[in-house]
Amino acid sequence: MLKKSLTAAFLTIALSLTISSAWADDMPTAISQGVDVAAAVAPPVPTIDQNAWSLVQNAMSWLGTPYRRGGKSGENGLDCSGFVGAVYAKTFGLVLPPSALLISKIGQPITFAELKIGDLIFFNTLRRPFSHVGIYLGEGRFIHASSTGSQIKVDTLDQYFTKRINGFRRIDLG
Amino acid sequence: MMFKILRIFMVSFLFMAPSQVWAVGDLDQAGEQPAGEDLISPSTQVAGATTSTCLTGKPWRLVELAGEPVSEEQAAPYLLFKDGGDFMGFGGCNYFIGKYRTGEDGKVVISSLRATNQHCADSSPRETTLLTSLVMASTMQLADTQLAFAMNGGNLLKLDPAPEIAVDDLLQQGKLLKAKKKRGHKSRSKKKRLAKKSKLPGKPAAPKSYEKARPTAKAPIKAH
Repeated sequence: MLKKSLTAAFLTIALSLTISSAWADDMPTAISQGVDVAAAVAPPVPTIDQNAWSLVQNAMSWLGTPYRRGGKSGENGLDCSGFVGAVYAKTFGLVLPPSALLISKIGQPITFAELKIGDLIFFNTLRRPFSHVGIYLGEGRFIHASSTGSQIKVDTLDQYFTKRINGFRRIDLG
Repeated sequence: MMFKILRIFMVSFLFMAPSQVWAVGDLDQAGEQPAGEDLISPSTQVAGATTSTCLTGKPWRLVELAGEPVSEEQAAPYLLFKDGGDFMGFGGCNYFIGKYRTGEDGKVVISSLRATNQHCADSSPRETTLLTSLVMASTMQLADTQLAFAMNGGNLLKLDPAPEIAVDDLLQQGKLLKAKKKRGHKSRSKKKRLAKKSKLPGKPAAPKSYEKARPTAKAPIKAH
């Protein structure tokens, strides 16, 4: 019992140390290849991954849009899962579930070190696990539909958000 | 005994883990910079720039975006960088504010973007490409008075100094966006203040879960 617990504790610490050392890596630029990209826009620099570029472009097209609880269509605003769903639908033609919790269940769990542009970050911001979701943009930044009275914006993983991270997921594009 | 050791171990980890994650994720945290990153003051090191005044304090007009020249029209997008890491801009339709951070070899990270919410059919696609380029850019170079944002060695956008651009509207919109941002942050701290105020003066704090609630003497009921 003790041996198992200690092993688990060591593994967790090792994971956290791996995460910190991975920060020094270059900015991740690519997400999974070989997907039919809806509304694909060619990146201006050929070496930039087209999926990453299209996804960021679709996400940035919502910048400034007001947050609306339950907003899924974008007409009067979007909530966090509605925003993620809208970006994934336009970029990859994927229909995601209508809540952050449900989206977390279809995504493949990944670590911080594995995060690439387009992966999803989940937070506990409503005292409920996986109650908020945003799209990772690289370099510790993410874009999300924040909260009532706010808007879709780019934020950094500061102390407030870091404390509330529940996990990271990669959506299978195949 | 075994559980006691385990508990000490887990508690020490709980104290350690947030600091590790903090160092990973928070670019804004001074003094806790991740290994391998030498992020420095935004105004001191822009590749090709000799002083901070080269970059900050004057508008930069967008002249090239995604390899295409941008004509000098009335609603041409422009950026204004300020000392201290803030910048603001106009995309041809919307105003936006954000933060920029530069490092060695012209490395740049654009973050904390907020924008107004206007829709303009003609300029919105270009504006989106501009914002995408800013977010995706990994380097910023100032050469021959031209500012260029690039990624993987390819230019994403180029800007020329344009002191003739009046930035009054930009500054006003920037203030509004910043005020909106502050209100959002205030609401969280306001909640904490309200929670503190809700505790009556003199009332003992609620016992923590691991402490046994101590019996307190009941106050005598006043006779009316």
